[in-house]
Amino acid sequence: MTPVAALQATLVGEHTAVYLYGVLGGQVSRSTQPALARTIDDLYEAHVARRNRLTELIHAHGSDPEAASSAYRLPNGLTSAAGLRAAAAQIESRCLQLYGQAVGSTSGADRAWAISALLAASTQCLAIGVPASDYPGMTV
Amino acid sequence: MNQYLNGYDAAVSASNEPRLPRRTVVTRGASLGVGLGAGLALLASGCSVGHDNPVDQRSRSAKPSADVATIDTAAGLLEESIARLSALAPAPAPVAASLRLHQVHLSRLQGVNPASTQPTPSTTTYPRHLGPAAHMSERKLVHQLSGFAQRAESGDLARLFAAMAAATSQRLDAWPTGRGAR
Repeated sequence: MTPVAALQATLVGEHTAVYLYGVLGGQVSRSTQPALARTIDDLYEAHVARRNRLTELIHAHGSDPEAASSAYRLPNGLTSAAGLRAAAAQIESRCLQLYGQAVGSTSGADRAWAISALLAASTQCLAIGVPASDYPGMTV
Repeated sequence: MNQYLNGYDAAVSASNEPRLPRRTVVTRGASLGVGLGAGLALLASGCSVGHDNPVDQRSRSAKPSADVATIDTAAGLLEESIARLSALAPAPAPVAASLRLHQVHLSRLQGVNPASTQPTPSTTTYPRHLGPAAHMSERKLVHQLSGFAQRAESGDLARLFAAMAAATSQRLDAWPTGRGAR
């Protein structure tokens, strides 16, 4: 996988994350689940920032960043806190894999950023209930 | 549950994602008495299996000695950290989880595959400022592992080091002086 292809794949994942977190944010109850709402808000902001940075990195390579889809299929079970957490955990786990892939497929400044993004994402995801792993971002 | 995440599925499936074999990356030949030649052979077989990305192609054509030396250095740092954390015994659960993680990572570098060490939740109470020097050393280890990932010539090795840094950071997050103490 070329460096740009890896960044594009990660961007596609971040587009998905931003969309889904937008939905999750609309589903969570801010009165009865304030902590979960804050966590979802924080993760949404983190993914927006990483999506934007990925767009810049891809532009810097002279490529056109992948556009977001107009819609994504939504998970079931978003009416409960457990369902929201499960969906968020799935998002985070997939993104960790994409950042791990980006680390292995890039070099220089792109890799440096991918490493920092993987580190940040690996600790942020703990708040939503993703269990700590021996090798975040790797399939072992 | 998975089927709705089409964006991820497409991205991951298109990646021909590298998968390190479970027994991989034995490279600390010097300290283990394996010898540099054997270490290089293991590096080549363990870190570049079936991957065709440009980074890997470059790594195959480059002299592998830099990566071997990096792995040797990393193993040494892990051994130091293991000794440091062992000295804190009896350690609270988060510190013990870090210790077990380092042992897993060291074994990985040495080509052994012990059982996974998923941390178990603990209700242990412990001093707020337990081992601040150890905490600082662990934070430094995260930085060093990240640096190894940055400098690795092999893309797979870079991913491994980055994952090790991320896992170390995750464990550290639960330490008394980390998020868990606030």
